[in-house]
Amino acid sequence: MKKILIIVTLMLYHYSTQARPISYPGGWTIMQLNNDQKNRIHIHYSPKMNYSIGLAIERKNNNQLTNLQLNQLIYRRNTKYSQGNLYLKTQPGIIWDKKQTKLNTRITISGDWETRRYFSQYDISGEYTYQKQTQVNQKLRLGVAAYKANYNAIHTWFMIQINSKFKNNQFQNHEITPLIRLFKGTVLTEIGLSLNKKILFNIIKRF
Amino acid sequence: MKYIITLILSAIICLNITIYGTPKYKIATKNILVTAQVKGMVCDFCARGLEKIFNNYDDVKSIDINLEKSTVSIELLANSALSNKKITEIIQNNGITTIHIERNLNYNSPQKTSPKPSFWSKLGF
Repeated sequence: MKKILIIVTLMLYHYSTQARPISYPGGWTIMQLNNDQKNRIHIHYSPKMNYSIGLAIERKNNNQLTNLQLNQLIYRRNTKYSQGNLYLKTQPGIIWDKKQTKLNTRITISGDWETRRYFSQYDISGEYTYQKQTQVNQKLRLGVAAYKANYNAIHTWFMIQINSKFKNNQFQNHEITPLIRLFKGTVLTEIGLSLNKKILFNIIKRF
Repeated sequence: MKYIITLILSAIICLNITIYGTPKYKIATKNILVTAQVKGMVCDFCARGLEKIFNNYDDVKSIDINLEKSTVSIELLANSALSNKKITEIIQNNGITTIHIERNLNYNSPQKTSPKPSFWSKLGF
């Protein structure tokens, strides 16, 4: 029962890494990401529009990773009908497993471009765990809005997400996940099912 | 005696109907409307910060965001000291670019309608 309460609480107050990693100036964010591979909670604060600082805790393969996270907006391009962003995410941290503790560092470069109708995002991240392994992940997301919704309306997006993983320079796998994104106001929900029948479920809350 | 009581009650009811029977349904005020034409405001989430920040100012009466027209309309109280420069700066600090900003000093604030009085409130209850 206690576990259910914790999960429900986290669900109510989370925000996904799929959305922009920096909030508005003075904004706090709590994010949670759930998929078949990991559960991650991330709290961050954005003093300005171009960076955020936070703490993330991730559980993956019976390991727990705790890291600081600094997200920086390197470049933004605004046009009348679109916005493009380039972010750098730096995450120094510590990984605990049942046997030992190791230093871990992850660096991600993330780019997105969107209009009111189309969305695209590409992330590439390198993760190094001390004396253990190097992992490179890539993620591509493409989306189209079902309709052009105005402010405060319900927004509906159909997206496809493609993940590919490399560990110690060896290709591991691809994961293709069609998903639906719905959001209204400060709440965003994503529900997806990969071609390998793995569920993706995110609820996002900005405050 | 009954006749006097009836007269007094009737007088009270009539007085109440006179007071409450002619309510002002509409209140009109003149405020300042600042309309900013912006670029880069393509999603609801991008604009949330604007609403939150502007609502922190006491002299901001309301804010209207239109993604279709790419406009941010801020209604300021008549004595507001928020300049166009400051508004542009706030928008810019939220990551959105202002193309053009204009100020209407003689804006007729949308008229507020008070709830229609019920039958019983007309009778003074």
